[in-house]
Amino acid sequence: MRFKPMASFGAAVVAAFMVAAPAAAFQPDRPIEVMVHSGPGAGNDVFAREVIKVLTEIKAVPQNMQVVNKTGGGGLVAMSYLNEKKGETHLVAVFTSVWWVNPMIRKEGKVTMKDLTPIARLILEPAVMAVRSDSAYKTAKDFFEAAKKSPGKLKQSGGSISGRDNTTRALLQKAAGAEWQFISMKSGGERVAALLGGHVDMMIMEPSEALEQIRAGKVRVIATLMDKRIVSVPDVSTIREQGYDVPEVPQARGFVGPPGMPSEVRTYWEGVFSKMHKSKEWQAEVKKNHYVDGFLIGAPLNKFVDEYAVTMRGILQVAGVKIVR
Amino acid sequence: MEILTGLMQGFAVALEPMNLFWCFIGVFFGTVVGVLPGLGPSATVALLLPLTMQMNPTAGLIMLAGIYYGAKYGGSTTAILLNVPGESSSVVTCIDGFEMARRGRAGPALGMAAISSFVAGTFGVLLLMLVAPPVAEFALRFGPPEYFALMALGLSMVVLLAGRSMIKALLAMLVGLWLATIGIDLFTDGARYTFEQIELMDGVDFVVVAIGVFAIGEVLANLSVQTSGQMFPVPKGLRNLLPNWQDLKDSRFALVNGSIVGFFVGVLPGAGSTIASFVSYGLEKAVSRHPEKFGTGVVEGVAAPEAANNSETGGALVPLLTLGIPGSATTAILLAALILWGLRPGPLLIQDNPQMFWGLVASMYIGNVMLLILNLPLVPLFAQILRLPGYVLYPVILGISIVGVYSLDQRLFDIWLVGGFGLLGFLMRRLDYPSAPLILGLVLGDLMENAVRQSLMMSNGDISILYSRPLAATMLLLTAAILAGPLFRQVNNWRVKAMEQEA
Amino acid sequence: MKAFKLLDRSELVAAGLLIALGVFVAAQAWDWPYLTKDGPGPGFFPLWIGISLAALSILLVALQMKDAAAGMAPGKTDWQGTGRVLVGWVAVMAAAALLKPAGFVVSYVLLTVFLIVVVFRQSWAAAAAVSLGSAAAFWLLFVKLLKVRLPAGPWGF
Repeated sequence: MRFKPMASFGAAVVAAFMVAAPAAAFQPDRPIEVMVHSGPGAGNDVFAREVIKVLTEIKAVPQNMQVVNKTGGGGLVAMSYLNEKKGETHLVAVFTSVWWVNPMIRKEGKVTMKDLTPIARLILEPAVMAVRSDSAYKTAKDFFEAAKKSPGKLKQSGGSISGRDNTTRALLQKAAGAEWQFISMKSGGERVAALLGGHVDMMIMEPSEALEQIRAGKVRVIATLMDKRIVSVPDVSTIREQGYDVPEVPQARGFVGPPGMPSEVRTYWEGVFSKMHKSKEWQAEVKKNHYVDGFLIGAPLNKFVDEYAVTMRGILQVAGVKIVR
Repeated sequence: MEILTGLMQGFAVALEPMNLFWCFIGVFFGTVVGVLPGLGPSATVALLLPLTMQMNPTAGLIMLAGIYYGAKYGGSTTAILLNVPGESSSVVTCIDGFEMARRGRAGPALGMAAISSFVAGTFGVLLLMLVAPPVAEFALRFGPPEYFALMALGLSMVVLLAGRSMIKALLAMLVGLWLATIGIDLFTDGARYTFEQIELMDGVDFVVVAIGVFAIGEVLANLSVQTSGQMFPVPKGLRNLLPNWQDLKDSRFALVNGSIVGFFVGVLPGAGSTIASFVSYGLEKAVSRHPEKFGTGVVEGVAAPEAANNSETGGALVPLLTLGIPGSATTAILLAALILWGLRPGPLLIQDNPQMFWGLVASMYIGNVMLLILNLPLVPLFAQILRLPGYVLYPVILGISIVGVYSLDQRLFDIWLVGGFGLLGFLMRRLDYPSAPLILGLVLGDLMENAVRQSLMMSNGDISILYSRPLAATMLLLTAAILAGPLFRQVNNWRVKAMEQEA
Repeated sequence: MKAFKLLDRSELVAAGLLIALGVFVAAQAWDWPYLTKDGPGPGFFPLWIGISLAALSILLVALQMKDAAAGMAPGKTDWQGTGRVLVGWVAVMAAAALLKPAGFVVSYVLLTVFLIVVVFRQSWAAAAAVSLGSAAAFWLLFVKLLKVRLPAGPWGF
């Protein structure tokens, strides 16, 4: 009886706080972990470090940001780790396309992108078809014609069969009506060495990899595998322009948070990355690394997360990779 | 002689006080990290990467490179003193190095390791400076068939590591080969022996096996002998704590062998310093006049692998600096550092940044000298570690092992694994199964299987690709020669035994 | 067979385990593609590894029996002290289990004290000195100086 007024007063106080709370902006108060699913030195690791570098330069985040490498299972260990840290506010991770692909093809991958909190997509990584500069192929057509004449004899070096270089190969083979061998090699260094040494005939590369070799005159790009020409190699026509109907297989990179990330924290990070995206330092990094700007946050990002899953599923089916989820 | 002018320019850069300072920091940390098992140069370089972003690229590269080749100096310390490889390539040094320590020759072993590292390290830099571009081009001719031949050569070393029982050595190697298959198959994405554990998807880490079998296995083996006192004899007197002239004379060929083998294996992307050490050790034993003494503590058995793993760093920098291709985990991080500094690693890197390249080369000469000065006087000091009683040393080794393994990936799963391998290591010791072939199989199995399958994909199933190319054929012939030797001996033994039984 | 009985029991067990491993490895590999259109499949190498493991182990036993029959058997494996080894190993595994809840420092100290007092039969004082001293050294060197991430218990280290 005496408690009732107290209870309702208490309820009013709580309600007032609940209304007031979202207005209190989130500010990080301890060092932030930036989790990367590859080892130090690999593409994602470099990407994360570049982001941290820019964020530090433009003073967007008041706390220290540290790269944490959680390798294993092509991202599955990282995803699983992230999933365990529900509600953690000082942890973000770099996502790439394998975060969609690997849970689809591996039984052990129980965590998917839908379980996590996407924050922002930052860039898209284009792909180009490259051959040695002393080879006879000047356009994609040359390569396809040669492949048709000797089916299965031409060779492409690449990574695993569920990776972009092989899934793109499947799409190219379908559109060109030709077939050639795919040789998986463990490291990027081996793949490039195989191309340069004449052990394989073609490689699907990222412009950042290719450009230095092009500058030194060792490699020639014969087609861009995107819908539009890219700034890094403006004179190279796209595969569509060359007459082959090949959809682009984008490789996206961005940031994602653990499940159950409070909305004001997500908003905070969205703000940080928006600020970074607008900065000239970041634009310089994008240009330097030959990325394609692909900034997305909020609702369009959520839509991308869903659409991308559907796209990748389709592409994996064309490539003949077994899907388990 | 643009090489000379370049080098002079380089020394001018390298001898600047700041750069000297960072060089010292790098080699010092490198040595410390090398001594500690499990913690490797790649992890340390990665750790210090953010710090170097604030520095100018030349100074930063000098420091990071210093860590890289400095670690190879330190790796032999625990290998010799405690049979615990400090660095993956030091596994081979354990074989004769630890035996030397057991016979009271820890000092000469450590000293020889430092001297070999210096000679070969300097040699590696020399080759890097003189012949990097043509060697890089030559290395490009190594395709999957050549890698296969090289791995076959490496695996044939098992007959040279066999010791008493060839069959047990082969069995150990097979177990190693099996361990190498654990994980996701590169070509089909199929899981092999992963028991649906995410942690096994990338396979069993070599470091975990090495630390388990060697370090923890050693500790467990020693628990069975109740000693409260000092472990091994440590002679007094500086003369006995450093290598003598006879040691240096015995190691002449080992230094040449190790330096050359190490450098060339280092140039091949993906090959690695462990393979360089094994091949160099095997080669040394194969041409030795007293091969049966290997494994009992011969100084060449320390000099050869130590030389190999040091000149390998020079070799590994070749593809990185001349083609922009990283050949190993640490060079991959160095590549990342170059990118983060805004440089463009590729064939034109040296051309665009001659000062940095030559500064680096000069600093490596200086660094090797620093390391010799750092390490040699420490030899008598380190040798005193063996005076510590077992009950102090062994728990510390266990602690270092746990830290070393955990530092790889921060996974508790790895600690369980290392414990399991520790038990395996103990059992192998008891039952007289040699552990070097296990490591050999583990390191080479993956590479060899990949090389075979890649080769056959290249030739569409035509197996002759493996032996028809000249480079590959040469190495295969060498392999056959190595295999033939002991097999002859073994068959002869059986004949003799059979004759004795009939008599 | 008399030769069989002459054999060292532990050698037999080891060989038996290797045969079992070989059979397991080969059996698993049987289910995977042996050959693909591009060459050996994932099942090729493991199958042969498994078969070789089993075959060589059997050969080993056969050779040992032959040696035993000819009176040339090497001495029996010395299993003395294995009790201590197993105790030590269990202690290591227990320390591994404690890593997550208690952190590295505490697990290490407990392990060290246990080993020094129980296995090495030294005094508690020695155990305390060594364990605390080395634990502190580890913490300073690895966590503080080298910034290695070690498991930490609820007490922060």
